[in-house]
Order: sequence, then C-alpha cells, then structure tokens
Amino acid sequence: MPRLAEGEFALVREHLGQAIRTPTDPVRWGSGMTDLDFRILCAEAAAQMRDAAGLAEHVPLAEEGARRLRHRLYLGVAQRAQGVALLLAGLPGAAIDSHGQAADIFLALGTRWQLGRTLMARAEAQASAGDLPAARADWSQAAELLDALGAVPDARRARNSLAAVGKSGA
Amino acid sequence: MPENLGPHLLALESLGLIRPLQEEPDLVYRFRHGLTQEAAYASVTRRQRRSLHLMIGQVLDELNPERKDEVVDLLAYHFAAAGDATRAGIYARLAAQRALSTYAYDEAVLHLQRALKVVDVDGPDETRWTLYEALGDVHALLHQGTRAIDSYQRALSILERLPHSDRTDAIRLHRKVVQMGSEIKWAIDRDAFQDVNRAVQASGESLDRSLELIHGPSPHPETVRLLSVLSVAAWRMRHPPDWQTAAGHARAAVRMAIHLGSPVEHSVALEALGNALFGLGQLRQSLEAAEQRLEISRQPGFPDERECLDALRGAACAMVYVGEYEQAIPLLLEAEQAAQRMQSADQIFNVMALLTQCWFRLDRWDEIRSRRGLWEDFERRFPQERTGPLCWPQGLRAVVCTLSGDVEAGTALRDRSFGTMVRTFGQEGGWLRNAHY
Repeated sequence: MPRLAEGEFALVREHLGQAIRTPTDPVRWGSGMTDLDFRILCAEAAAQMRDAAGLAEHVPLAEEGARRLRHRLYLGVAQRAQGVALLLAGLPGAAIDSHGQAADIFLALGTRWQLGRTLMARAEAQASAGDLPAARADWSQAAELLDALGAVPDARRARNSLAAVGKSGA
Repeated sequence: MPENLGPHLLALESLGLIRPLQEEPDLVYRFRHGLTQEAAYASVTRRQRRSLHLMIGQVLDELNPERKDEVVDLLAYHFAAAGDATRAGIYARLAAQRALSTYAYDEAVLHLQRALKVVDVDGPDETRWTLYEALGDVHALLHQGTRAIDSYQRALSILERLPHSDRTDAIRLHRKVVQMGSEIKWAIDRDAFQDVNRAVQASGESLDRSLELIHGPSPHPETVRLLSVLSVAAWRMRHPPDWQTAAGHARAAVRMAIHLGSPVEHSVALEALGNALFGLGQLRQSLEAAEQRLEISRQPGFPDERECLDALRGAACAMVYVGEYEQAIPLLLEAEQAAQRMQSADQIFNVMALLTQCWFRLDRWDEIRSRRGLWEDFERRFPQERTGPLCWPQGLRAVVCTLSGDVEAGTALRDRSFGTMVRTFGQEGGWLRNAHY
C-alpha cells in the first residue's frame, strides 16, 4: 500500500503476484489480506497503470467479491476501476456511469479522498466524451475536496487538469 | 499485644527510631528511617530472621481468618522469607491472583518469583510446578511469550517426573505452550521465534497424541480450550494452513461449550471458529461468530473481563474485514478504554492498529495524524513481543504522509515498516500474503 501511494504501480503488481501464491492469516490487528483485498489492490494498480489486461483480469472478480461480502468501499473502488477499463475500451459514456456509481458510494461513506479521485477519473471520461463543462465541474470539486483533506499531490493534479482544460479553450 | 512489648516500643519511640502510624483497628508502628530498619534487620542472624518471619506469618495467619485476602501479600512475603516452601507457594499464588485483579502484573511476578526461590531449593514438586504454571500465566497475560513458554516448560519437566501426576495437567500445560507459540509467532523476531519453536512443536505433537483423551465421553472446559488451541495451531503452525481441520476442531469446541453451558469457553471456541471461517474465505460467517461471541461476553455476570475485551476487539476486527468501518469504531474506542484500564499492551496495540485502519479506509487522515505522538510513545515503551509488529500501522501512516505530500516522512515510515517485516517475517521471498500489504 505505501508503494501504491508512491506511484510504484509496477512494483505493487510484482509484490501482489508473489502475495497471491502464499496463505493469509486472520491477523488480530486487521492486516490479514483476503482474496478480496488482493483483487482490489490488483484492480487499483491496473487502473493507475491504464493496464487493460490487468483490469479485465481483476475487476470482475473484485466487483463480484465486494457484492458478495456487501463491502461498500471496495465496491466503489471496483466500479471506479471498471470506469477506467470502459474508458480504455473507448466507451466514455459507460465509464461516466460507472464512475458516477462509485462516487455515490463514496459520498455516502464520507470518504473524501476516494470521492476526489473518482471525480477526477469521471472528469477524464467526461473530457473524453467532449463534455468539458462537466469535466471542469468535477475537477474543480475534486480539487476542493482534496485540498480540504490535505491530499496535496492529488489536489495539485486536479488543478493542473483543470488548468489544462482551461488553456485548451474548449 | 504481649505485656513486655509496650515498654520496648515506648523506648524505641523515645529514641526517635520508630513512630506510631495508627492505633485502630490495630496498633501499627513504622521505622522513622529505612536505614534504621535495614540496620536492625541486618543485626539479626539469618536463622533468627527466618524464625521471626515464620512467627509473624503464623500470627498474621491466625489473627486474620476472616480477612486473609487483605494480608495475603504479607503472608506470601513472610513465609517466603521464613523458607516455608509449602505456605510460601500457596500464599504466593493467592497474592499473585490478588495482584492480577488490580492489573499489578509486576507485583504478581514478584510474588511468584520470590516463592520459587524458596520452593526451588527444597519445596514439594507439586508446589513447584504449580508456581511455574502460575508464573507462565502472568507472562502470558503480559504477552511475554518466550518467558511464558519457558515457565510452562519448567512446570512440565517437574510434572512429568512425578509418579502419580494427572495427565490432564500435562495436556493443559502443553496446550498453553502451543497457544502462546501461536500467539507470538508473528509478534517477535524470526530468530527469537526459532528458539521457542522447537518447544512449541514438541508440545503440539504431544497434544496430537492426546486426541484420544479429547474424544473421551465427558465434556470438560479444558477440552474446549484444547480443541480451540488445536484449531488455531492447524493454521498458524502448519504450512500451508489446514483450514478444514481448524474449522472441525473449532466446531467441536463450540458444540462442547454449548453442552457445558460455559460462557467463557463458548467465547473462546467462537473465536477459534471465527478465525477458521476467515481462512475459508467466509468473512460474513466469521463476523457472525464474532458477533455471537461479543453477545455472550456482554451478558451480565460474564466472569472474564479479558475475554470480554478480546471479544470486543474480535468483533471490530471481523467488521473491518467486511468493510464495516463506521460500525467498528465505537467498539474499538470502548475496547481501547478497557485495554488501557487493564494495562494490556498487546490489546492496546491491536485496537490502535484497527482504529488506524478504520480511519484510513474512511479517509479520516486528521485522526491518524493526531495519534502520531501516541504511536511513537508506544514504540518507545514496549518491545515488539509485548505489542505485536508495528509494520502495519507504520505502513498505513506512511501512505497518509505520502498522499499528503510529505514524501520524506512517508518514505521513512515505509522503510521502518519494511525493516520490521524483514526482522519478523524474514526476507521477502518467505513472506506470508499479509506481509505484502
């Protein structure tokens, strides 16, 4: 997880490849890594790397696992990763819907970083679909949320994206 | 008071050596200076001292038949100083129990060690092994696993030499060795664990050989505990883990505990079942077992507050594994207070790590940041054996630092987390899946 936060997605994928071959424990302090935790991390790393094959492998299993366990946070993460997969497949409309479902979950949970990142992902899909006002609104809201949380690098990315759209003049 | 004592006391008081402390309900004098007491004590021969301690112990024993509990620590002290091995042993165990009731763990260890010094020389073997078991139990409560295992092994070596020992006593001691070994496996350095692992494996084999006794006709609380420990050992001490065997033992333990109508053993067995269900990937069923355990431990009159605390922690942990972070937080805050009251370092760590995870998952970074000083204080105060490895909360805190833009602090914490993992789990190639988190 620290490597994921640092943006070392390839390293994360390598670690997870080793991890899945080993057993897990119900650790008393909560660090037992379940199959669902594993799938979610893989899906997240694949989404960050824009790895269509990785997304196709892990997202359906992550989503199925999250639904079966009624794990709302992970369902949101899986749906955001699915949104990335749909955008990579050239389906920005479906991607926007998927990100919207994820955003609803994160809004209900009050998870500001997850919501901020989902809005950024949706903004990207909206920009790709040509709806720049909606994209600007999402990037702007994401920057606000992430600023309030103190998520400095992500907030900067959101503002940079917003500025880039502004410069494009669209 | 003897007739001739009064003038002596008055003389000592007029010389300024002693002063009256209280008159009622008993007349009590105290030395004005500790040095005077030491000098007076040193002026008496060792034989006289032992005789005086014995006399004082006997008088205290006779004068306080109704309130022995209040003077049990004095009785333990004087009979130990008198070299009366049998009574020193009896009262040391009682004094240790009394100390534990107020979470005075160090005092409990002191009573037992002092008695053992006497009993080890010429005490009866029966007293010796029971004292070692009691000492092991205190170390187990302190999560000092290697010391606990050492004490249980000493008890076993004495017990196994006794011609008419009860086999169930040996099974219980082996069970405690395996239980402690299972608990500390990932809590201490890998090298340190190798040292105790041989003893744990030997006890595990002994328990396996005792299976025919487990399946005897009459249910017994100890059998429930044994089945529960065998359940845990089936995954924690075997590679790869045998979750089916773990679930089988745990279910048998639950059935027997229900049959016995024993709530504490029922709670212990449900913990084992919850763990086995986790391993089988049945996380919702694992949560159900944990919630049932919590309900049992919250019944009025539930007699074991440490088990109650663990049930609270366990229910919250099971909630975390299915993403019910908001629901887990109140349980964890309640558990944290109880763990602090009981001065249970391992439970404080478990609860703080789980709280950190809940806040992390809910993006409540301020709450994680606000605990930074607490974590650092915790790391300074306790060795890893008392707490458990700190790599997980260090890793989570590293993520929050990095995502907040403090890359330097994030990298430092990540490196610390990695170092802890290598010391605990060995090099990366041999890690369990959890360590890759």
